Amino acid sequence: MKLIELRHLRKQFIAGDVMVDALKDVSLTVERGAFTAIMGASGSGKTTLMNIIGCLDTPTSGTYILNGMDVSTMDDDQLSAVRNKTIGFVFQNFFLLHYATVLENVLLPTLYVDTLRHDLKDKAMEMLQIVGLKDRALFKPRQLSGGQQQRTAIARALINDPDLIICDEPTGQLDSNTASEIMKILTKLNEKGKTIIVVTHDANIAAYAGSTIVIKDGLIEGG
Amino acid sequence: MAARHLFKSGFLPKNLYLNLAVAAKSLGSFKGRTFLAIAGVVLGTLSLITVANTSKAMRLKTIADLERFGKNLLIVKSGLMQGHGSLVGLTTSMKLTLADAAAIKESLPQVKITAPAVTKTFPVRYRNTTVTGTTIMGIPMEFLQLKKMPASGRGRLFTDDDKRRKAAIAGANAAVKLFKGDDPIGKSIFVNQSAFEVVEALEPMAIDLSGMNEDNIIYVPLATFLSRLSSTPNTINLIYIEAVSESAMASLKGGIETLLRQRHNIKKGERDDFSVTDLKDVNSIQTKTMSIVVTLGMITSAISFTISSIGILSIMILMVDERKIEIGIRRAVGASKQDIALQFMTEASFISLAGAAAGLITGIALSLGISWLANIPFAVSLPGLLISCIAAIVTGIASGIYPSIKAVRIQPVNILRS
Repeated sequence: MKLIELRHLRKQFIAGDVMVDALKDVSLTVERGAFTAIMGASGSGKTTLMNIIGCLDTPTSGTYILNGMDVSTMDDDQLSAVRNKTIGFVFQNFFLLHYATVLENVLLPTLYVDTLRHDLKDKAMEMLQIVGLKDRALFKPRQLSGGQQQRTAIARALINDPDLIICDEPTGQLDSNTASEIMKILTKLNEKGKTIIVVTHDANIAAYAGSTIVIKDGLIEGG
Repeated sequence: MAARHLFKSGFLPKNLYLNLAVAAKSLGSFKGRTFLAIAGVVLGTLSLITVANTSKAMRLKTIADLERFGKNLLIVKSGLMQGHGSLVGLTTSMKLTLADAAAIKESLPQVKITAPAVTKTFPVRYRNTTVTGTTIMGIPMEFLQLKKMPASGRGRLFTDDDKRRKAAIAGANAAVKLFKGDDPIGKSIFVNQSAFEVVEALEPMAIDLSGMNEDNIIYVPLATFLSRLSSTPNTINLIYIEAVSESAMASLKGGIETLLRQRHNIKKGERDDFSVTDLKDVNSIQTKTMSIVVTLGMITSAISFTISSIGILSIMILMVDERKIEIGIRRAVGASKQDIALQFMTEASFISLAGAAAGLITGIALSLGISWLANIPFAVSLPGLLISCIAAIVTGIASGIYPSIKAVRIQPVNILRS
């Protein structure tokens, strides 16, 4: 079953006076439950592609079907709701709120959920258990190692039960041992049914994925 | 849509708590600036509440004063006066006489009661305690008809039998200073080597409209005063006069002035050596003074609120700038533009309301202090409370609008580049 389907996607930017074609006619599908790596050099268009898949940006033309919904025609509010429900993000720089505790950071996406749940704290603790940080719930991010901060970010990405987890260079700030720990957690999540997309330029990281999409000059290579 | 967003933004109690906790924590990382912004709101609320409370207290006090004295009361005081309506004498002379008082009563039909009185300060001794500078006031029995004395009820006020006795009624403060906890009633005090028996002690009355702190006064019968404590037995310095009706007040005042100028041989163009005051004039002057104070307080608080609103605005703009990544990450995890706007509005209001709460407490404490120092009742003005709360909320919202717009314009795509 398809989770993601991109048809003839184009994205143009205006950089100064020049029109830049960041994505030129990209079509691809990602099956539900897949573990996919997106590789490419900087300037290849992989970040633009990730932003569109992550509903942080909209295509200039073309169609994007996510989880059966046409998200390419949605407005900003609808896209926010889709990100909240369907997508979890993990970034290279973790992007945790330094003044909030680990637990509060994990709870952040629940602030923007329509329906009120009363067991949110238990749920957040469960997510911290999955990433092995239950005993650090009341720590501040600055008291944690890089790997622990990234595991906090993964727990935050999981809290709203998204179908898709998008990781942008998730190990870029980590040493190789920690990097493999993080990738093992992602692999385990994939085994439990989460669809995972990892954007990276590192072939060792891409090797964890079941399939790899290589992007170059705004086009999918071999696509 | 709007309601849905209110829900979404965590305005349900559970999430509201989390939002406020986050707001408090993020403000905590800008302590100095937050403090300055809050200080403005504190000052604004403080001055508004203090002024509102104090003016209400003054109003209550004035009403109480007018009630204690008879309604149609004029006071003649000897000495050159500072100006119209003032009871603060430039010179204290003793030019009034008992004969003046008698002449007023006999020749002016508008007079109902006259009560000539005399004041002078003496050292007063009780056992080993001497209090210097105590005001002793000699009063005729008629004085008690003009003025309600708040008697303790344990002793008695003067009766006709006391006219020439060495009896005394002690004001509340005077009693405390002199007797230090002893029951004054029945005790002897010494004034100018004469022993006076204290027959009654008064409850506190505070400063009256004529500017005297009556609680410091010890009252003795006029005849006793003039024979024992004065070297000039016909000279007095005050005449209290009650008119037959309110409509007679103006003509009575003029009549008294003409009569006394005549009796004191004051020629045309010379200034009076006495003044005639209607307590209502004093009241209206005090009301005017108070309204100037109220206006000044309102201006101060309006300025404070404006300054603090600029302060909150600037700190919120800084916070938006320094928290771009936070805004980006919140957008990424599902916050809509409205959610972000509401977050910064909440934080701005939080600063403002925290300041209002602090201003409220200090304002009430300050009004309590003023009521204690100035001897006026303590009162809390509800409109004052309401207006300051509204002003604080408006300040918070007004100063949150621009930063919120700024925050909403931030695109997560541009911020979350690794």
